[in-house]
Amino acid sequence: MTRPPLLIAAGAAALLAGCGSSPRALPGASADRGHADIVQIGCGACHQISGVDGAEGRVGPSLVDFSARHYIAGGRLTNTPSNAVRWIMSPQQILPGGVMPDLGVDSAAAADIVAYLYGQ
Amino acid sequence: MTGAGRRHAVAVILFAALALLAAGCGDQSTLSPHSKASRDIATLWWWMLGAAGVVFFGALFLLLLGWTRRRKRGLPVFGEDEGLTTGLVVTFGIAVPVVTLIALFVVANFSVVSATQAPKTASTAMTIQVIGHQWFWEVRYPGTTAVTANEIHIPARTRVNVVATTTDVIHSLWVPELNRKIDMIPGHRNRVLLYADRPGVYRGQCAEFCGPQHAHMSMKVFAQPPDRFRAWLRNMAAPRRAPSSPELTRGEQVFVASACASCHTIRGTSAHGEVGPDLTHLATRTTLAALTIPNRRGYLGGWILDPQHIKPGAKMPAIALGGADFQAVLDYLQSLR
Amino acid sequence: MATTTTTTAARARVDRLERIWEERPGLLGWLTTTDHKRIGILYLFTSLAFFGAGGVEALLIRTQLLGPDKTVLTPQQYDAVFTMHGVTMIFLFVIPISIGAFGNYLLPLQIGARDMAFPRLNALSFWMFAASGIFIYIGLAVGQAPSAGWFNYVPLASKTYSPNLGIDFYALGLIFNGISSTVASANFIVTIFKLRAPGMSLNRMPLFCYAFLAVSFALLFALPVLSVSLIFLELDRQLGFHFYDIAHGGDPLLWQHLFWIFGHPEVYIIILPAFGIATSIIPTFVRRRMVAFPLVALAELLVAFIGFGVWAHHMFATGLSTATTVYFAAASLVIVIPSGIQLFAWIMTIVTGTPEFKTPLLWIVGFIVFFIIGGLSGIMFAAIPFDQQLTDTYFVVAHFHFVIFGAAVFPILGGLHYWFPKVTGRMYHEGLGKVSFWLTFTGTMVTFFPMHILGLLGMPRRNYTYPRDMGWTGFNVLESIGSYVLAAGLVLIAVNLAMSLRRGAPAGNDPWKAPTLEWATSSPPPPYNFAVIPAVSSPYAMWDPEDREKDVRNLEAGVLVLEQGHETPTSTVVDAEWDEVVEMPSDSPWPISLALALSGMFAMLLLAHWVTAGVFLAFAALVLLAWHSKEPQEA
Repeated sequence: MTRPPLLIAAGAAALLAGCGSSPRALPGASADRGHADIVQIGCGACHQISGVDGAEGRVGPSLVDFSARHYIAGGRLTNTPSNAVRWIMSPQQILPGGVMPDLGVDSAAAADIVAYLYGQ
Repeated sequence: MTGAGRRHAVAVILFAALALLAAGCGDQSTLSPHSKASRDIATLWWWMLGAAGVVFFGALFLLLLGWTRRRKRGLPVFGEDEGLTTGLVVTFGIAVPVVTLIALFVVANFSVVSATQAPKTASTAMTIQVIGHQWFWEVRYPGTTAVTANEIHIPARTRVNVVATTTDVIHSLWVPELNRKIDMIPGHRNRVLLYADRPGVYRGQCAEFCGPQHAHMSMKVFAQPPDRFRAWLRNMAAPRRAPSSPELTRGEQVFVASACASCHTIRGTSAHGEVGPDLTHLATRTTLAALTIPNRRGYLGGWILDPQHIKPGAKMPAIALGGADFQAVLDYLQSLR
Repeated sequence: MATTTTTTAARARVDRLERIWEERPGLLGWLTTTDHKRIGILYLFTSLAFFGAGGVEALLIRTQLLGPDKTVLTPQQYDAVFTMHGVTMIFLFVIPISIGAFGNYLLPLQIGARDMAFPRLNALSFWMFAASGIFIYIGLAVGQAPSAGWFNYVPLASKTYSPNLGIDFYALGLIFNGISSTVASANFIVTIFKLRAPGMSLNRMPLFCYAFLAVSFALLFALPVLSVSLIFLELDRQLGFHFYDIAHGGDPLLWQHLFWIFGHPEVYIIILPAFGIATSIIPTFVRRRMVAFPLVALAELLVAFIGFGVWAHHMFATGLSTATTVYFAAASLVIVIPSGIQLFAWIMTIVTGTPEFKTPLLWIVGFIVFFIIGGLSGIMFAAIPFDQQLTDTYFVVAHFHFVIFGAAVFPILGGLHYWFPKVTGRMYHEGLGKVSFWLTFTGTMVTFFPMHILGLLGMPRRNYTYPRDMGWTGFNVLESIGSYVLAAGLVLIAVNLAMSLRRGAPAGNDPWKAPTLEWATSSPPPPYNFAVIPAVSSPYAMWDPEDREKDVRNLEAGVLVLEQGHETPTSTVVDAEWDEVVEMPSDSPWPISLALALSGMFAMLLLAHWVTAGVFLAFAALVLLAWHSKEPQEA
């Protein structure tokens, strides 16, 4: 386990959050737009997400602690901003036959969503 | 703040509240009428509010008078005169109410009611049938094979006779912008008039408590220009659009073979379930689960796999489908235009 | 003062009364008491406990609605909570506190009697009420709460759609509760007609007593209808009958008619005692007699009577024929008149008197304001199309909370302060009293007024949640905040009264210089109420000093003291001429035993153990036998 580096990273993230940049910065992404996209797409129908009305789904994993995850996409990808964006845009390409459907999310919207999920 | 200042502030707040009301925010407001029936009721309300305001502030004035004269007996000017005091009680308590109430009775229960009551038999261009279920609305168009759910389409500027019934408990059909509500009672065939001044979407909701998901039993009325309504009805009466690709064919096969078909009908297939809504043209609808969630792929997927987290207590169970089958069913349902 | 004894002869008479009327001490005394005042206090604390439960339920509802899509309660829990809230507040709080507590405690005192006409029956009604409330709450405790709303429409309440025992707890509990209220109302009628102090002819009876007379008659005729509707329901649910089952020739609308034939008179049953309390408090604090006394007395009786002819205005959206709806709308407007008379009589009394705005009068002024609001919105529901538009929305929730909470509970809270010195012998804290009034008044307004707007904006009642984009959120948040303020106000009342119980200044017999006879005796009153049956020559007996001097002379002379036995005089129904002296029964274990036997029977009916239920019924019969057996004379 790499506790100390994680803690440092978390501490750094906390410090930097106020300045508008973080280790997982997504240039141009907006968590506010991400919230609207999540509502629009219906992520909450399958996932738990904090701050989204009715996002109590238990089909997929809870996304409340998304920023603390090491792996996403059923263990196929490490949890980086670019991987998360790819996963949201085309899950069936990464995990064919998986339950998570392609929902026609474009890259900008995916980045916004990831920004929201990291910033919950 | 001085007494006068406070009263002024109260007046400002009151007027602001009234302005807000008049604007009729939200789209299920009784105060943004879109038909003669609803407009007459709203007008009646504003008049009643005015009269009620006079009574309320009149009584409040008398109480304030009592407070300012708390050390003096009797009435101002007239002094202690029991006959006069009793006379005032008779005036305010009997004479004034009798006149006002007769006026209210005549206006409300003879004039306004004529616009809101059930249409006379054969006085309407068309009849539709709305059937309440725990917890959705089944909509049928007699004379056609069209069946849909939760989204009632009507031609605008056309008097529509709605026959309201139920298959289980009592529900109440209510689209406040178009007309008063009517209860749907087992064994009774109640009727209500729906009429929309102009094309638009009018939200309605079940108004009689009908069990745990009473809160999620809403519907929309789409008033359309007549030609668009006719096109919609033609499409709605047709059987489902046949699958146009192997993937969609596979989706239909999964649907028909799975638990879905035991509760839902898709006309043109062997799915003939009658518990849940008809899904023949599901993709034309804007919402799912009686307006609980939008009809979009992400929501639809979550609804199929785990409806109980979205609408706890709904009759629909979670459907366990493998990933590939699930993708195929999603594609198929989204193709049902 | 009647109990101010001046001679040794008088002192000896009072001592003898003390001995004759003394009850068992301690807990056993409370369990076997037949003293109307102790029964009133039992009613008070029991109904206040249920008020607390109903209040917690209300706060849960408001917290769930604090925002859209909240998950404080599941939908099923929410339905159980709002159903229990309605059932509790109506059947286990407002009616028992107003009739059971205020009526029991004050009515015999106001008419100069030594007890209710049937003291043991009185104890029986209390124990059955307590048992029925506990019975219904056991349902909640074991997770089988009713959840079809307080008016419990079928077929939602049928076995098919409500399969658990919740509805059975509700139906059997309310039948049980109904027996209690029926017994109580018969007792009140006989007490009012026969036990008035000789000289208190009907035209000299306080308006408070007129209100209770009207309520008792309304209860007596309304409750059998409720019992019948509930028995039908249980026959349907437990034995497969079809009273309400459309598939077999029954009709769900039958339930609605039966329920509201009871349910609308019930509204006046709830509010009339409050009118009675108002007519007690107003004259005291404005220092004058009520304006238009005969009109007000007549209006109280008329309200109860006309209340039986308006029930179908609860059913305007069910598709009744036009003629039917128009008739019921007209009747609903007619009932406005007696209410209007009373309203303006209260207001004109305040205007022409010299009001001193102490806490009890403040509560009454609050009551008048809320009664006007609730009354005006009520009139609107007699406009058929408006009713059909707004019924089952928050507008109707606003309306009946202004009527039930604003207009019925406010006088009850005012009455708690007004009679606190009489019951405890101590004064409450006036400053805290005023603060708690303003807190509660503000809380009530902020909680319930916006509900009118929500209803107009289309929010239906009984929704466990609502969508964000309807424009309803702000008003809901406001209401929830209001409910917390309201709760704070109520807690402050409890704190004030609890502290004053120990630390309040001694009150004396008559701290308010009030006009009615309960103030003629000591605070708290002795078990026999009055050393001398008081002389009466007007409804404002305490404002007739010659009569009070006559009481003192009577005690010295031994006239109308009745110290030879456990006795009270009876008088003729209209003119209250001296009739005879009747022996009153002493304290007894039989009422509580009968209530327990009946509780066992209802529990077994619930579980469909018919034979065991029969055994409990046999027990009940044995208790009744014992009840009527001759007892050894104690005094």
